[in-house]
Amino acid sequence: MNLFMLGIDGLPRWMWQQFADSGVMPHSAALLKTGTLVPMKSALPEVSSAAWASIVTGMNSGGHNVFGFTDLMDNSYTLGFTSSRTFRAKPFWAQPDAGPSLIMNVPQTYPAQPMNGMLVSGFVALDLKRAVHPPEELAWLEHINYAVDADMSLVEKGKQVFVDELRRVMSARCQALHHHWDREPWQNIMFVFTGTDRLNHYLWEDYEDTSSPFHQTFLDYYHEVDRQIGAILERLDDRTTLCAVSDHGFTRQRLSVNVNCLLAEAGFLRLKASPRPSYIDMLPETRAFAMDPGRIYLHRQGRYPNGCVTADEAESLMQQLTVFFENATVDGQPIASAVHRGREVYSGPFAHRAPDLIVMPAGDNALSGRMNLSALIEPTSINGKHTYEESSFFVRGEYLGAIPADMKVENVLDVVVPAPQQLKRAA
Amino acid sequence: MLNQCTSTPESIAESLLAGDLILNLTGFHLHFGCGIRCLRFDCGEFTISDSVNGQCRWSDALADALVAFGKQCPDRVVVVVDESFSALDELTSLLGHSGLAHQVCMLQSSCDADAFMDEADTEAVTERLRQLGYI
Repeated sequence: MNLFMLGIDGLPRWMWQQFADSGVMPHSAALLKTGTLVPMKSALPEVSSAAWASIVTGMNSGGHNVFGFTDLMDNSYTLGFTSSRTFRAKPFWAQPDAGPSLIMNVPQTYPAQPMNGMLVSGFVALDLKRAVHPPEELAWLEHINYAVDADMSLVEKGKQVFVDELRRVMSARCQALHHHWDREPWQNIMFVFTGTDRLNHYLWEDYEDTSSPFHQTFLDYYHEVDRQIGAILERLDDRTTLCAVSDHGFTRQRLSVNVNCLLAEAGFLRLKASPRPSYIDMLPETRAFAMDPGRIYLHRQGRYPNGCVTADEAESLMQQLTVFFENATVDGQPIASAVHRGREVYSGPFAHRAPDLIVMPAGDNALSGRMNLSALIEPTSINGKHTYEESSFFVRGEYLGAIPADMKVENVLDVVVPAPQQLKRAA
Repeated sequence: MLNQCTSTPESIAESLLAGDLILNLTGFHLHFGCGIRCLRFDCGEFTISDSVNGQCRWSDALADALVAFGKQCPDRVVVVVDESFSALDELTSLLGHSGLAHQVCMLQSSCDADAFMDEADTEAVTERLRQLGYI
């Protein structure tokens, strides 16, 4: 096997090191001593769909066309949900010389597309029948009650029930990994734990509060993840490049701020009255709108059917919006830590579909792009949010590319599957 | 590259500034409003048209004429190409040396409903994303 890529969705680098050092993750402690662990920056914005797409293609969103979980279809106000079909760049397993690959639970791969090997789709996946390639592998997965996604409605039944569900799903996924591992001489395997992200979203407050009755529950889940990592490590030999990545970091979330509410209050966004407002309800005089989480689009002529912002006006409007977001506060706290220009961060054949601005959330604020403008601060039981900084990148192997000082998700393949001229012996 | 961008035939107006001249080297009809001028290439010369969305074919003669045109043209020329255009390196080098204010715009196919989840899945996907706070 050339490459084993392990994904641990939402595991901050500092947390992984902390758990390795404290005994929560003993297999990780041993693993981390055998290679290099560095912090890595996520996609902009720091959302799983875009980040995993960057990890597996080596491109930013302008190269693979996934900017978030949602997007507007070209020249329309119709909201679409990104899928494997939105992906317009080849992941590493689809490259001509990749060889047969086993790809399991990678986000943004639903519905399953034909490829050389076996693929079971990751989030957002709805129906196992459409999540498996080749289809003849479906029956065995159904037999073990493989779930394409944890039942998130169980959050309402309490944290213990929810975590039990995450464990159940993880167990079946790992069973499937080991079952299929030896069935073919795979050149590449990629396997992603996503329960960690779900745990972090709903139990982050319990991680931070050591007196919480669910604090140990949180640690125990990571201990189980680590046990599964140990089982994987036992099967790997020294000739296989091992890479372990997360797509973003995590931190506390206290507020969810509706950015479209802010834009409407400031006069940038105008909607006609609608019982279920959506982008189709934007009035022609709208100058800017938001999509999750913090993507800002100018309502440009040519790009949108009723767009009013000309190319000549765009620069001035972007400056105006940048100042607006840099100064915007909610409950006396700034909502933005930074505002990036789309044209400065995205490149590639789909850069024209990029947001014009990306607003990065400040402190413990999260940003939403809902079109329901009834509440600026939205109630939510989610208490952990993604961070752009401090995702994890670990690698060990013999033939690696140099790790950039400013490591980003789109650099992963440069390190683990370097072009021949980039090869260097690992230290 | 600073002078390059991407767009679609339907969205190209968002890349155009007032006063731009369009040189369309694709077979696509471009969508833009009134007031945008196009370059036509006929009998070895460029002419400017207000109303015709003309397409031109790349050739040595056109390349030579573009260099000459660049010496006298004060406006920005937006050269529109697509993925089938085989002379991109030659074009960008020529434009870079010509002194002509320019942008090269590479057309991509539109991202429509086929690129997203099936409409029948909308409600289920919406709920999954809502549960994680994405929407």
